[in-house]
Amino acid sequence: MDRNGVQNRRNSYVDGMYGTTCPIPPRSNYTYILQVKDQIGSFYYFPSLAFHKAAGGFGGIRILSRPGIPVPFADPAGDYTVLIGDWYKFNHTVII
Amino acid sequence: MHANVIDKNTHNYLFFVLQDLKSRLDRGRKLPSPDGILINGRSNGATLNVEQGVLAFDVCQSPTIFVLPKLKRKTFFFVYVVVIGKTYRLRISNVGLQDSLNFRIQNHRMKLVEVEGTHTLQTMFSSLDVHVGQSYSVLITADQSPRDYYVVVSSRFTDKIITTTGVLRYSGSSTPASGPIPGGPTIQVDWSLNQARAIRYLSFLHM
Repeated sequence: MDRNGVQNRRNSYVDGMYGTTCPIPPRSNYTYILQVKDQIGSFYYFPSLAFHKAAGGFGGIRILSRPGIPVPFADPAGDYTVLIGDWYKFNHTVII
Repeated sequence: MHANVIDKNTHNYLFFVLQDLKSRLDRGRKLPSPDGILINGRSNGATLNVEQGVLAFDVCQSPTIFVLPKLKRKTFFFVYVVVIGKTYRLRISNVGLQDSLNFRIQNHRMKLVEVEGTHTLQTMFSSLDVHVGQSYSVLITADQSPRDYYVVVSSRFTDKIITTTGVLRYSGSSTPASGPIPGGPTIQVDWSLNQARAIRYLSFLHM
């Protein structure tokens, strides 16, 4: 499971890419422990193997400012995650 | 050994197909044109039917997703509900495989405030190019007359431009989105580069 742009602070060995992180087999768990810092904002995570991303295996990440530490705009009335992407009907094994 | 001569039922077959796909992509070949574009797992009725949509529905996260009761069978677009006069943050990520996308909202301009963990100089845009892997935050203010408005996402730099719509709904609105779906840039590379260059880091000097 990779996270575009989120720094891997002191855990570069779990960047969620094949080669550094082993694939997680079906029906098993792996817990990523991340320390996030200074990157107040929006990211998303996705599986890096086997086109699982194309099948919808993604979600948004919000890194919030600590209470009392301001961001350069007023608190919005709502906060929506908008995940947009191209979409294929084909399985990746027949896609080309 | 080529994939064609492998028994299709074996695991090896998949292995060879994937190797084939990988080598083609590594040589720079693109994936074929996608069949549609999804906004939080949803599309407009034109490109998606019930069965096809089911898989992607699981990715919907926002508590404000709902399907209009009257149009249950046909309505798969994604709906954002806003209250007039208020300002909302949209965190837009391109979670696709290949296509750059342009995001825009009918009659609303967006104020860009953040890109992947960095606050930006706050610039108004009427549409925003989001390339694969990018995440942007924009603020929109519900300052139009209370009805529904199109949220439009269309593909960039493709031969065939694919468009999908969601809905920005003012709370209590019973007027569906209408009028032409707002157009955006399609194949203009310069437009995209210029917009990217216009996005600047917000330093303390600006505050």
